[in-house]
Amino acid sequence: MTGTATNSATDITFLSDWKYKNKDSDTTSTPVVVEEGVATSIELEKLIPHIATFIEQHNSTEFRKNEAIIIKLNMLETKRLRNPLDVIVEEDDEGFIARAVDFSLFGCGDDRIDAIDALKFEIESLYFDLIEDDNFTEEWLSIKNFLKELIIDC
Amino acid sequence: MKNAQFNVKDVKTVGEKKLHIEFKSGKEFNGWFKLNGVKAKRITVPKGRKTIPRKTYTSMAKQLGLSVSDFDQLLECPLTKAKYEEIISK
Repeated sequence: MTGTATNSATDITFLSDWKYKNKDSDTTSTPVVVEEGVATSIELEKLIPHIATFIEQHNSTEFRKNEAIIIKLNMLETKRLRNPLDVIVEEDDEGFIARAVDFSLFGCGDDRIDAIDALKFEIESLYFDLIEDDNFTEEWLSIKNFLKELIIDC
Repeated sequence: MKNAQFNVKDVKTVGEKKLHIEFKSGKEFNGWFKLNGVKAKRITVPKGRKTIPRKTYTSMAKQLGLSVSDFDQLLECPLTKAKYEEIISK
């Protein structure tokens, strides 16, 4: 269910390459260097604006509208994740849906970013529901433990 | 799939009346179905959408532990709470 920091670094390396090829959209003056296997949360944080721009550009140009994509969430609305969470984003009639791979949760929106933002909110909402008490089935208690390990509660 | 026949309000109403789900209002409506007093299924009902897109409809069915055709039946009425409990207890 969980990824590793090494996987995370590998997966975002392409964003660093993309950033240097798209200098017009650069939003910082300091280059962000991501080395495979040594990415830290600080480096990931620096990449967030570029990730958003990357997704936005792909939304409008490179992806076909009906193409499903898998992204890795590193942050929720207000909380960080220890490991990236796989999310499938795809067209859903006239809008988009973002679905968590590891459990049954989704977010909807008019575009991919809206759908991802909605899912981020839903994951936090589920997390808050789950930490209220322990009156859940084994399946949900397992998801609760997974989220407690995944989410950095600060 | 009968997603075109139902809107989000129908899903919420059936959830409340038939499955006794109490929804909390956030960005979306979320509610728990309790089986024998234990929270067993959690459904998200999107706000602000009159018609339900196909994948959203399928995702809601999955959240309730139902196939799409059983979810159709739940919304259309033939599938009772007792039958639903039987399905998710398997």
